[in-house]
Amino acid sequence: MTTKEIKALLQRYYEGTSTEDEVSRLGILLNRDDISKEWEEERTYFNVLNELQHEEVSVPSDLKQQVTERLQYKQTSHSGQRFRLLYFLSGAAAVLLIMLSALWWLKSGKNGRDTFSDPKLAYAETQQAINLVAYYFGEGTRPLQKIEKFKEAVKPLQTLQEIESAEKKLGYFAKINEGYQTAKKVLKGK
Amino acid sequence: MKNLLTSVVILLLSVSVQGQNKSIQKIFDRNKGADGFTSIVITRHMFDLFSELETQPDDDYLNLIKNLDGINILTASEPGVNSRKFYNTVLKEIHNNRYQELMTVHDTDQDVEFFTREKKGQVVELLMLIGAQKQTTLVWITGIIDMKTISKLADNLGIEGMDRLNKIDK
Repeated sequence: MTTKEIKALLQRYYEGTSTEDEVSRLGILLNRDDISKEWEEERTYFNVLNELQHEEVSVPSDLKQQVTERLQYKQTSHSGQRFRLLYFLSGAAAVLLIMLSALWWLKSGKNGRDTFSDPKLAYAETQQAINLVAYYFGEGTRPLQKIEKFKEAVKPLQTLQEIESAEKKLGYFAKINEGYQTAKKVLKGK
Repeated sequence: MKNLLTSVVILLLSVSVQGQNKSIQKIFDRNKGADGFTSIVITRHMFDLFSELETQPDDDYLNLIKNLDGINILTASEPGVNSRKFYNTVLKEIHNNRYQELMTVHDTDQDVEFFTREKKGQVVELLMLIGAQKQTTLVWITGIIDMKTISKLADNLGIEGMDRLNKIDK
């Protein structure tokens, strides 16, 4: 019977529907000597709770100040984190802005500086500019071309020189041959 | 925070690298629209539009232009500007930026100087500075410049080159 009653009272207690009388009855039942050991934990819990109810709790005089300080500390630490986050985000935004500006600057530097908007006019001007460069380039390289032509013209003369040199060599052979013949005749005469 | 600073430093460095060797560009930017100066700028963006024009498919000009990034022309004429002073300023800037001197053509009343900058064996910048008595003209071509095509065009210009040149001056 006691066990059943304890169970019913505990259920109401944990559901939060017990009256003060039911709570004190539960305390009395749990502290009976013939109570089963299965209620040991509940008995300890109710005894501690009973002791605490009778114990005087001292409230520090500076409790309000302590609470205020704790709250301020929490607030400061929160705002510090927020400041760091804001600092990082603004830095990242600045970098992004600089990068976009640099991109725009490079792009506009390539596309936005053209003197002409009409490709036909631009093409005509480009041709003229290239002609100007080519003309003076030709002026500068023309003397070199003359030298090249001179070299070409001189090539046949070099062949003639080679023939002349070969003839000279043949002349030596002729003289040697002449000397040989003379020597032969002299030897025969002897 | 460190990452943020690194990003900013990298960004600034990349912008400054972009800005290097841009002293010729500065000459154009500084004098564009100023009294006594006439400038012409044709960029790659415009070159891309040339393909839409009715031109010969084997056009030497188009073959040359297709690899170019831009053509800039700046003329300083007296009395609006001291053309000799401008000539010397440009020449100093060219020498400071270590352009290679290609050749100088001494004409009766003007000197024409050619300067180039090469990258991996290709001419990537060509500067032509014409110093006349009362006029200085700077032509700055950027991109991959095929000197053989320029030479071919020079041959084609031949005797009629001077007539065409007169038309350009007008």
